Amino acid sequence: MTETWTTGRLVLMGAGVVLIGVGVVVGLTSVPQGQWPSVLLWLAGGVAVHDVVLAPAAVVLGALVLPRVPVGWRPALRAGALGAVVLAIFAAVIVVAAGVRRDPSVVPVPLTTSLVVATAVLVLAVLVGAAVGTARGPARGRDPADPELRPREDVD
Amino acid sequence: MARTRLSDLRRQPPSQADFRSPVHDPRVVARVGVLLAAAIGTAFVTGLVSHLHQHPVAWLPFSPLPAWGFRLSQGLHVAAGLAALPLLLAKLYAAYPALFQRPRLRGPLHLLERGSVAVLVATAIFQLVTGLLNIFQWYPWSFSFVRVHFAVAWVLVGSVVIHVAVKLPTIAAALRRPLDQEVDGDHDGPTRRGFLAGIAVTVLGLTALTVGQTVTPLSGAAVLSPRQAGVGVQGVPVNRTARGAGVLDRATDPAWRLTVRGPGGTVRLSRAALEAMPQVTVVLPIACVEGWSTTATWQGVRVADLVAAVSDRDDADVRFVSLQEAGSYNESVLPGAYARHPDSVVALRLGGEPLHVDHGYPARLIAPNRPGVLQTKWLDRIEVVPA
Repeated sequence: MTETWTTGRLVLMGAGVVLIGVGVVVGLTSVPQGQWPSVLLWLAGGVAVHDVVLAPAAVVLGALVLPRVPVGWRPALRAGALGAVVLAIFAAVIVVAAGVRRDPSVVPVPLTTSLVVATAVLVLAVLVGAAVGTARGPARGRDPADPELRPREDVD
Repeated sequence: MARTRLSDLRRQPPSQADFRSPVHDPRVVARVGVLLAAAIGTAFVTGLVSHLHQHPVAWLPFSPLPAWGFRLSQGLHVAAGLAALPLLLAKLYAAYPALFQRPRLRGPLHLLERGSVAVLVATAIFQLVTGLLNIFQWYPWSFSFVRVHFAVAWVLVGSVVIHVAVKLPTIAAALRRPLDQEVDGDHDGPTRRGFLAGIAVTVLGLTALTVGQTVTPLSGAAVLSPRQAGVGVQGVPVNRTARGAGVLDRATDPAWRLTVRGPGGTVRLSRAALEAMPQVTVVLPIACVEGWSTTATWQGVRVADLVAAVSDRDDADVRFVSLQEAGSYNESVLPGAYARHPDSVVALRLGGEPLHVDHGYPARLIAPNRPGVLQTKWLDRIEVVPA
């Protein structure tokens, strides 16, 4: 945050503040007050799930799991973990939605079919990715090192 | 080198410097961020289109053409939102070492930056999760989804723009540097590329397994989608059933009449009387705000012909009121430009058969380039809106 605040960045910052302001005004004027606690609960819940579940799971994956598998497998397993989290979210939603649906055209595919097919696609993709990663062998860079680049720069 | 154990993590939480994987490199974080911002931006713009269809403004009127306009727009909205889910997870994963910065706060500006990131994370997760649950018609909350989804969208986009403003120099530098360029002699280019390739495969895979709710040729592959294009009674998915809307008895009552009211008077038409009027056949998409859509063949009476029976104005807006007494979408207004378009029809038949009651029997509106929630079902009356 030591870089110069150019006019362009200040304009962007101002635009962002205006957009947030629009959202806050729209929310305060269109959403009944009685609904605000539920909205805030769901907003906070997302951050809580991220901090309590997703980030620790990522630490465990990076610190405990990936170092123990062959190098060629790691990118595929990382992507597989990403796909598995997405699939888990969908699976939970699909199972509940199938239970509360009001018409058969909602979640038209049998649960076992959809989840087995999606899991098979995921596993197949990981195996193909691992095979490609293993076949390529140990990583070797092509370009010379850039001493000015620091990999753990504060980016988020 | 000793491997990390779970007990090590319990004893001493990691700091940002402990995360040595090349996937946390700014070049990776920035590239994932660009993709995520593109998905969020697409969802925001198409969401505005949907909002303006439902809350029209005089300075930006929609046209009935192209007929597939809303189908494309809303299909993109949901596809982009679903694609944003793995992209957001990947972005959080790539950037999460920043959560372990020491010291946690370095001053007021840093506090503001951290706060804006918290808003960004909270609103992004909120929008994607509630949007996902909405398309599956699961509402485990106590607020109006549409209103809150619209308001929070502005906050999300605003916090993305602020985040870009704060990080712009870092982002620009990161995007300029090739992924394969080494740092201090590392050989991590393939790892960085592999991570991005994994994200791409995940996003494309998820899209392939869901987009068939609006892309008919991929309907069979849509195993993770809440709908499949073409699957439902009479080949069209159903959003709200007649029983769910509380109209089953009135919709199937032989005494039903469609009231058409305008400055020239009022007429009441039975279904037989409607069938005796000149019939037209139109092939139009029905496109739901929840993202599913399908093309169908509709038959019925032109809206313009009904309006002409009670009004000599052909530019008037027309209100369609359903038998459904409660609900946010029990009536809609068809703008004049749509009402006089020859493809805007009070449909009596779908796919060559009488409308199924869950599709709006005895009569429903179908018009081009219009959200499904505004294609009012189980019509009770049609009113020419006074100028």
